[in-house]
Amino acid sequence: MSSSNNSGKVLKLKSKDNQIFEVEESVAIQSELIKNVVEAGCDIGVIPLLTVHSKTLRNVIEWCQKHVDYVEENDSGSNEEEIKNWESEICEEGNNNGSDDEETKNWESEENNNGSDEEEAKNWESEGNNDGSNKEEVENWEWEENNDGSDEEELENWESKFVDVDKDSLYALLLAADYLSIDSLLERVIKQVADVIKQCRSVEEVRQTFGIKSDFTPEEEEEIREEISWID
Amino acid sequence: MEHLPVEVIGNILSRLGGARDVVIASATCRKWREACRKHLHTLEFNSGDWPFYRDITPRRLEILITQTIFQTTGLQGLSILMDDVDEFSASTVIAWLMYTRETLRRLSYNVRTSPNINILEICGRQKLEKLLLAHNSIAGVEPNFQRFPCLKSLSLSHVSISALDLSLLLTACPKLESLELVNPEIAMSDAQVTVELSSPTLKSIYVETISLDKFMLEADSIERLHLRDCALELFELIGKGTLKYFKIDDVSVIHLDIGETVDNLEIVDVSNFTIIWPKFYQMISRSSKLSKLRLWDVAFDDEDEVVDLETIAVCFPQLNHLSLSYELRDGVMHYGLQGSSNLENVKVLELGWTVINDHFSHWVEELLKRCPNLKKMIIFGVVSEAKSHEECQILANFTSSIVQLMRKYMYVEVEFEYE
Repeated sequence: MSSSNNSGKVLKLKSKDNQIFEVEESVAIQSELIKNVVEAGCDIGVIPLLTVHSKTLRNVIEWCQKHVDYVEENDSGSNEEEIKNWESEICEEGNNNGSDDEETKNWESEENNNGSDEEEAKNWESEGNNDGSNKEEVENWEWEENNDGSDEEELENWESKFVDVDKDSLYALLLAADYLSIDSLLERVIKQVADVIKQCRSVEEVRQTFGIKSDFTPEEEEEIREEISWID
Repeated sequence: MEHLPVEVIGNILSRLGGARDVVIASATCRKWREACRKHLHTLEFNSGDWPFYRDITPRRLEILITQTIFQTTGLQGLSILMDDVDEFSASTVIAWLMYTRETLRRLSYNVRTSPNINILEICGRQKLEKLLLAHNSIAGVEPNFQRFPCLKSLSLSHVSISALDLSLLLTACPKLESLELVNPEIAMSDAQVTVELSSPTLKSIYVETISLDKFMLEADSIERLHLRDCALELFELIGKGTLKYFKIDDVSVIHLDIGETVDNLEIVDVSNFTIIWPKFYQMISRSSKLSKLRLWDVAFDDEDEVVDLETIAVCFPQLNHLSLSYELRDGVMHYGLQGSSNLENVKVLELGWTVINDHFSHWVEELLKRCPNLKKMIIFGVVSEAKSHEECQILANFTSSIVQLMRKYMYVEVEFEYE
């Protein structure tokens, strides 16, 4: 496909519906699961992925390829890269979540910068509103020059489009990302699902959106209703 | 959705952050409830998340927060940032902190507690990586007994602490990388207000709204220094020349010393400052790696002093981004534009005026000539509300001259920002 690291090895992955996919090793090992299999050294001909349907697997491979390409394109390392990594290292408040990297990134402001170069160049300041107002503080230590800022932006846009799919596909991606242990994909899909939940105004709306059936006993329902009475 | 492992659901709920959303989601079915009980690692009660927090009394809020926290297990991130609440009762806050003690990695808290408690003594220390504290006080720091072995990032805002305790606190954090001090209330034992801090691991420091006689920072790994709205007589940075980013904004400092070796400086951003050019120049002239220089709304101590482009071009060959905004007087035009060295690598140019005059267009023109590889130029202007006819005329003339000028530089993107 593209100019990936041609250390050459190509792996064969078999989907749940018995389709075989040939994938370059560097792309496939974005999945911790596959990486472990490869590192274990056994020379399996085909790696069976019992729970992933070909339709989903195809998308997953596309995700992995894109991320391998992105890393390569930005391998100029250098200052700009480092500078960009600052944004994830500062002390800020903000939304937190699981993994360490994600967490540090999300402490930072989530203001939707329109991301254009000049905006960012201006947003050099940290606002230091640490008395806790949710106004974002450090907007952008990130200081883009050349195209590095917009590369990352481009990736983000690509990722957002990628996860902008119907619910069933989203769940399939979620399950696959979890099973295959692909952090970047899992993170992004989780964020997408969380964003959908945030839009819901009530418990019923969440149930409807995600097709969840309540399995509480009437007593439990009552208890819960009491507990959440403070919300609207 | 049924096939999702409960841990993944826990991950999703944690990503929601805001308690209200988490509570709603956890009330949908058994599995989600379990996810909230056993696999939720982040919970936030931030006044910005939901406007109706304001309608709940502090006492009721305490109960809700307690109820919600106590249903979780293994919480790693807790954030309680309630801007509209005056105070929470100490016993309740203590309960929250004790409950999460073993597992807490990130804590943000900004509400006064009554009576006053020392949050540092009660919160979990072993695993804490990030701490943000506001509107509270810290006293009696004992670095031998209270260590924060994993703390990487510390932010103190409107916190009352003595200079000694602040210094001791840093020694209690052997892995600290980032420090933010905003409007601290520094209690001093003697007349001179001095803060001396030392941290071999500190990479980034941000200080806002502080007024001191002396501020000394010893930091061998420091990479980023940002001061804002500070009034200091002396600021001294002692390090190993690792500084990369230096930014000061609206700071008054009489003696500024950022060290001998500034070889690694990449970004220097000075705004709302009076520069003593020879000193400033001496400070940064050896920073040959400089890629961004911003001198915005600066005044020069000596009226004859000037930022001359020749010096900038020669000293900073890697300069990529140049931002200049200061008063242009006749002398400036003459000395500032002498020489013929080009700023070969400058791709972005930002030029600003506070009072527009004829010099400005001329200056823009000269700068364009000296930046052969320019890609973008942004003009910043301040336009007064009540514009006299003469001002309008000047602005119109300026606009015409820029239009004409840019015809020679078709490949440069131009933008205007007026305020």
